[in-house]
Amino acid sequence: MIKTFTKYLPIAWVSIKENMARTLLTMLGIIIGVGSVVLMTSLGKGAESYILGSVAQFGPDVIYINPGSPDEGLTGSITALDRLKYSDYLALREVDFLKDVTPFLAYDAIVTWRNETHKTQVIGVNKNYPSAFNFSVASGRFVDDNDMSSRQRIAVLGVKMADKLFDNRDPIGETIKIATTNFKIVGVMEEQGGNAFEDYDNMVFIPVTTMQTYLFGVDYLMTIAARVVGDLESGVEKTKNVIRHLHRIDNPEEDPAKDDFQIITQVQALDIFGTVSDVLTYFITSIASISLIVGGIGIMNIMYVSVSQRTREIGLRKAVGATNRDVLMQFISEAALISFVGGLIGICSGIGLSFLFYLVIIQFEPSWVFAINFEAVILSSVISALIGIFFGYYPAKRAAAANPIEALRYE
Amino acid sequence: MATKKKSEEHIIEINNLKKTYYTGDVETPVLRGLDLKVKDGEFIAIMGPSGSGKSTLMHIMGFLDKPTGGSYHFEGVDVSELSDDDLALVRRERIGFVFQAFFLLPRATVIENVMLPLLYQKHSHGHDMAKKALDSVGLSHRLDYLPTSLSGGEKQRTAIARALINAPSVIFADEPTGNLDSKSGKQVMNIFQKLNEKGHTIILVTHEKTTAQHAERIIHIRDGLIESEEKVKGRINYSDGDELLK
Repeated sequence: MIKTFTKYLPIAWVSIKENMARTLLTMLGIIIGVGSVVLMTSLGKGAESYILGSVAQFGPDVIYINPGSPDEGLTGSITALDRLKYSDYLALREVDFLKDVTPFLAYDAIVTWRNETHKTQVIGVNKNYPSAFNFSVASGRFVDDNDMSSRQRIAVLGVKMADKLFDNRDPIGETIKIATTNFKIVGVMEEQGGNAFEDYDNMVFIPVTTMQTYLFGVDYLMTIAARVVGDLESGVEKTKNVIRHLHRIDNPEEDPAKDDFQIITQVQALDIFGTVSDVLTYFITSIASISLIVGGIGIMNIMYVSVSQRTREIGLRKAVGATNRDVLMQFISEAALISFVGGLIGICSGIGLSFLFYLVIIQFEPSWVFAINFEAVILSSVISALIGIFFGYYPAKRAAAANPIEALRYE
Repeated sequence: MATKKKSEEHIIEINNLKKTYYTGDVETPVLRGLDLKVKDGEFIAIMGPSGSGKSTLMHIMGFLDKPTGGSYHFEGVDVSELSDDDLALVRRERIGFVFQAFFLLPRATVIENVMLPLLYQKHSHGHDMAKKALDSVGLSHRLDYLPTSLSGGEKQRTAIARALINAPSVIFADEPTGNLDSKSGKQVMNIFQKLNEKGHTIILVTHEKTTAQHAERIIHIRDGLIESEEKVKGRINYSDGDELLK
C-alpha cells in the first residue's frame, strides 16, 4: 500500500505543482479543520493541566472533610453548614493517622488600612496551614497556638494584598480593619500563586477561633483539611469512623447517605475534573470535525473540477501507457497528498496558534500551561489523509473511466 | 536507403477491420472492412479527407480504441484478446504518440514532460533516458524550460522525445505538422525520417500531400475503406546536408 503510494506521489506532485493556487485554496478547508482541532484540543489539554495542577498542587495525601452527606452535593448543602464543629477539629488533631490538621472558615470582607479599601477573602486557619499546603511566610510569622487559644486579633497578609494596602511600606505591626474589627498584622506570605479557583496571594489569614468569635459568632467550620499519614484509603476510613463516633452516627454499613459529612480526596477531585475536561475535549473536537468534513467535501468538489479540466491530460496519460488503475491511483494520491499536506500545515498553524493563545493567557493566568495534545495531532493527520482518499475516490474513479480518445478530443 | 534494415515481417496486420459508433439507435459506420499490412520498419502515411476514418484507424492501431469487427494483429498477437490493462501495457512499451496539439503539461518542464511515460513503469535511469531522447531531437539545451516558452516546433520536438523515451517499435503521428510553420514542419518531418532510419516504424496521419511525401508509402482512405495506395516516388528527404540531427 505504502509502496503503491510512493509510486504515485511524484505524479501527484507534478499535478499539484500544475495547479498550485487552486491546490492551496482546496487545502484551506483541511488546514482550518485540522488547525482548529489541534488548537482546541491543545487549549483543552492546557486547561486540563492547569486545573489538575491546581488540584494536585497540595499533594496527593491531602483530604478535605466537608459538612453534609455526599448526597447533598460535593461541597455540602447550606442546611448542613453547621455540622462540622470545632470540636471535631480538636479530636482529629489528636489522632496519629492525620497530621497538619487545619480548620477552615472563609468569608468575603472589606479590608481597610487608612484610605485603602479592598474586598477580599478572609480565611480562618490555624498554624498548620502553611505546612499542610506547602506555603511559607516571607516576613514576620504565621498564626500560632497562642493566637488560637487566646483568640488574638492578628492577621497575615497574602503578598498581593500587602502590596495593595501598603505599597512598599512594611505592613508588619500596622493595624488594619477587617469589616469593623481591628487586626494587627504579624506576617506576610511568600508568593503562592493561584490556581483556577483561588488567588492565595490576595487572601488575608487570621486565627479561625478569632474569626468564629469576632466576625461570625459561630462554632462550626467550613472545612477541615489534613494530610493522611500512611495509606490514604485506610486513613480516610479511620477518619470517617472518628467523625461518626463524634456525631453519634451509627453507620457500620458505610451508607454515605447516613453521614452528615463527606471526605474528598485529591484522587476524587482529579477524577471529577478529568471527566469534565474529557467531555469538553470531545465536544470541541466534534465541532472541529465538522470543518474537516466540510474541507473533505471541498476537496471532492475541486477534484471533480480538476478531473474535467484535465480531461485531455488524462487522455494523454492513458495514451502514453497509464492504466485505469494508474489514473485512479494518481487522483486518489493527489487528493490524499493535498489533504495530508493541508493537515500538516493545519497542525503547524494549530500549534503556532496554541502558543500565541498561551502567550496571551499567561498575561492573566501565570500558572497556565502550554500543552499540545499529541494524540489529536497524530489522529488529525491520519484523518486528513483518509478524508482525501475518501472524498477523492469518486472523482478519481470518474477520471479512470475516461475513454482516452474522447479525453484527447475534449476541448 | 540501402543501409536501412528492413524486415519482411509485418508488424501490423489488419483484416476486414470495422468500427461502428452507436448513438442511441443511430449506427455510424466509420471503418467498413479495411485491410492493411505494415512492415516492421516501414514509414507510411495515411491520407484522407476529414471524416474518412483515418484518425479512427490510427486510434485502433495505437490501442486507444477497439474495433467492432474484423481482426488486428500487432507483432503477431491478436489484439482483440487483450484486456484494457494489456492495451495500456502495449501503449506504454511498444508505441509512441505524437499529436497535432502537442499535449504537453504546461507547468511541467521539458524534461519532466518527456519523462511522463516513465512514471508508469520502473526506471532508474529516467533522467538520462529523457536527456538522450531530447538530445536526439536537438533540444538538449531546453531541459528545464516550460513548454509555454518554447516555439511550436520545439513543443512538437518535445512531444517526439516523449514518444521516443520508451524506445517504441511504432510511432503514431497524428497531423504532427498541423500546428507548425513550414520550417518547423520540415524539421519535425526530418526527425521522423531519421527515427525511421534507426528502425522505428512510423505511421503518419495527415491530409497534406507534401507532409505525406516524406513517407515511403501513402494509403488513401475514403468513407472507411482504403481507396488506393501508392509507393512514394520522389520522396522528400532532408537527411543530406541537414545539421539538425547527429
